[in-house]
Amino acid sequence: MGGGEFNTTTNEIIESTRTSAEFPVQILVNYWEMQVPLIGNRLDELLLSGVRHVTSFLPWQALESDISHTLVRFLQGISERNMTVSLIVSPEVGIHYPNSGLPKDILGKTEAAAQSIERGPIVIGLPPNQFAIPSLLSSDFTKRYYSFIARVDSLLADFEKTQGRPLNFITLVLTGSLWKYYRPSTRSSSSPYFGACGDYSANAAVSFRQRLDDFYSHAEFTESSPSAANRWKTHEMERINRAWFYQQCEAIFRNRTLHFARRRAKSVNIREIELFTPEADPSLTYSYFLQSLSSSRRGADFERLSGLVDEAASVGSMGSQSAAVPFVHWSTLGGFRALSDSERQFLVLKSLLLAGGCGGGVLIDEDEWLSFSRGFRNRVEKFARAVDRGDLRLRNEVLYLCPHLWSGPGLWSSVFRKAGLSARKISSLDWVEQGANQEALVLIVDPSLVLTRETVQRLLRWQSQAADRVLVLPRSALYSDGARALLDSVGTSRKIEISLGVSYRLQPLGTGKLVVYDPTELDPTRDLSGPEWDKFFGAVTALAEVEDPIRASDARLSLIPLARRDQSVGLFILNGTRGSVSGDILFPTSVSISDLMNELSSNAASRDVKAGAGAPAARRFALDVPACGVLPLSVDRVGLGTRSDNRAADQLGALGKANSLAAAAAELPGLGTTGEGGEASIWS
Amino acid sequence: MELNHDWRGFSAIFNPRRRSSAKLLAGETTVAPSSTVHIIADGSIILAAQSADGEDFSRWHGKSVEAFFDAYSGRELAIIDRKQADQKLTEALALSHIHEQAAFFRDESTVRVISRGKSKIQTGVDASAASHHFLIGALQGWWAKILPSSYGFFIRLEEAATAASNNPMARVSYREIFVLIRRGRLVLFHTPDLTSLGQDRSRAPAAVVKYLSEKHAVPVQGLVASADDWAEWSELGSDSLHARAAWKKLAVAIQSNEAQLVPFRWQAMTLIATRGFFGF
Repeated sequence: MGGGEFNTTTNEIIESTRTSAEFPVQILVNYWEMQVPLIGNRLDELLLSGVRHVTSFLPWQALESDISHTLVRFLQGISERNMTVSLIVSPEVGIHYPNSGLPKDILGKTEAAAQSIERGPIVIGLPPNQFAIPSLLSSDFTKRYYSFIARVDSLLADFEKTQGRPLNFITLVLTGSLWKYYRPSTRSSSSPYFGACGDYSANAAVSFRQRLDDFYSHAEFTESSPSAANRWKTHEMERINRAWFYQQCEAIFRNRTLHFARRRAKSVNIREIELFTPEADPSLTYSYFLQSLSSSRRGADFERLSGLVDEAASVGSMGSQSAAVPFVHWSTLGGFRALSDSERQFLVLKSLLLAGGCGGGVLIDEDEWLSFSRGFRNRVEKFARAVDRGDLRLRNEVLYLCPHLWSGPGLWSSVFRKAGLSARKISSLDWVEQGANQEALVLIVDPSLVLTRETVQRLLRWQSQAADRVLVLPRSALYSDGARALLDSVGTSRKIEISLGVSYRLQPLGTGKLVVYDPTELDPTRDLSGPEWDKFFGAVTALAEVEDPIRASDARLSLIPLARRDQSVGLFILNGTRGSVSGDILFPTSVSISDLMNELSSNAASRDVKAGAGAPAARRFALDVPACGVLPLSVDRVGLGTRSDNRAADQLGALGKANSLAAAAAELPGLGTTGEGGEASIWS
Repeated sequence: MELNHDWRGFSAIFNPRRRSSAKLLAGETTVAPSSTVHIIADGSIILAAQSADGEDFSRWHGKSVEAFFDAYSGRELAIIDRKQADQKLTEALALSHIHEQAAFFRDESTVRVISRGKSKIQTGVDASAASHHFLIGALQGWWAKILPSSYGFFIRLEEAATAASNNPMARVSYREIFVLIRRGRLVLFHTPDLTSLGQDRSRAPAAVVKYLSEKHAVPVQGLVASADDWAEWSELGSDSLHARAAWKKLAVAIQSNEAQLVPFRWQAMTLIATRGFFGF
């Protein structure tokens, strides 16, 4: 890992968690792992160490069998000490409780178990015991689950009464639960999110059929004739329909959970996140199976865990009220624990940068956190503070709208290859409309998305809301009649048909562009990427003036560019291998670089003099990155080059031109601006 | 709340983290790995591969077994069919904790072993290859025939002051675990809740052992040792070649009062010494 001077103490690091329940590094202290009479002592110790905010899971089974009222005593202790707490309530994996806290009687019912597309159980291989995850569409499950959430709500409401004060020190954290884990180990083992993700149990089949009929009974699909809806329900459409079905089910689950969680305890804060537990991913189940055979005590899953962190940052998940920011949870129950110190540090830092850069962060067990060296914790703390104040942020320039976040990849591979970490995979237009996510310049619609009139309306509205936006739509058969008519109505006479590998139509739309492309395949679970698509997305991103991402000459190096408030870039160069790597970093424009750690360590005054303190300006820099190293650089552009700078220059130029024309028109009779298609000829 | 299967506590004592990452990385670059590579394959396509040396084979996922064999021709391969792995994973769901589930996989899996160009079918993985903790390995080995059918053992590891001071949130100066064994199976393992004993009595190992023995109605053997010594023995004992050295060090530590058997039983001491000095 790269070096740096650390001036803060461990207490300061931990103290930083008290500022907010949203700090990017959350320390996990599970209440049920404490002995009831010792809860007070334990909290006192934490308080003395400077910890004022803790996070705990709230396992379903633990709450139902909590005869000694451990949770209430824990909350009482938190309240008495003026601490704050986040309680993660949804069923999740990677919890240090039998069956990850899911009730044993539900798991015991085979009819309530989820099934992958291969019609087998989906086994989570983490201690304390391997178990098969249940179907969130099973009525047995849902009845009990919503009762559990209501019980949590009642418990908190009663606690509020006894406290006699608002419970604003408690944050209930709702997650996306098990939906993203409905993937078979076989297909996930080579690429985690390639292929179909979804519950194929009998419960899900019944629910799917009902939802399908409901969805396509809408007038939009039956306008031409009542039987017109049948073409949407054919066997060939099953994959396409299942994709939106699972996404809708997840949204309904989130909505209902929120509804039940805030019926009585109104003063409790609620936060929605997307919790990723890479160690519990089904893609690692076979790996854990083999570890028990080979009795390996050394971690062999480093690369896969690292890849799963990449996946966590690439999706933009939507909660029922707000965007669900990603949090990466290192449970230390699985492969993470067996890794070397440097590998674990690498993963924690990478998680912080990627998930934190999207507004989330990393959730880590207290003992694990304290097992890291003081220097490392200081370093993480510095980055976390910068992330917390919005100084290190991943940009969302290119959005890929797909029917289901956890199935894929469709065209995502090509999009990601072109736009890198500035691309985000989303499944909800609500996410796009969130304040922080409105900076996108390109929105690409997956060819397997069923497009209704409302969806097209919202897409066009998004395109018109800011200058120079590019909307990329498929020319597929998955438009409703209304949607197709709406799209046809926005067409102008100036269209260009292009065929360079991928055929597409380009037309101006407002100040931006509309691109309508011909998809080659409609199956959402197929990988459609290829050189022709790379070329196509290259052209599309160029239209929107999305800058080429910074690249490394050696594929073993990965780069995380994070936007800073002063318009510079915090560039993190990661070497996720067990040997040092030498390589070049290639920038699209001339830049000067300096040490980011020094900047973050120094005070605001000295930050102003950073310019010129680093290496001379260039477009290519050579460097060595040690094994499992993360090098932080501050990158400043030299001269004009950013899109915003160019746009400002264009606007100034246009203004100057208009002023000159106005002045000339006043002085020179006969001067006019005529021409076709808005093109001005200066002199008549 | 007292968990029946406190995996974190169990791992902290019986699977302590390796001490030096630098040593590990250096070791991997200088010593050529030679252990058997276990593979789960769907037909001839590799879905997962693992070896005791902890090599990362993830780049081989999705590639053919033949290509792997060409690349690692000197290594022994143990191949498990994907369908069989799925079946074992499903069957193991009925077992109560991961230690039992792992033992089930080891005992019940049928593997095709390819070594030096020869192939054979084998059911069960050689137990000696399984790097149990030396103590757990012994309890589940031939000792099981002479030990009572149900018993417990309690381990208390006292942490050195320096280690505690390094940890700003250190709350106990020792780590404990109680393991209950019935018919050779680990049925319970957790950090015992001793709050009902009171602070003073819970510090006395003899009182704790008596309490646990009465609570679970089984004979309980206690062992008190320093955490540093335990970590050293565990690291030695994780390698079957050096397990004897670990037992020897334990026996010497008991003899010199650096470790303590609570209560001191000659039978237990004899078993430990026999392992240490004679290797069985």
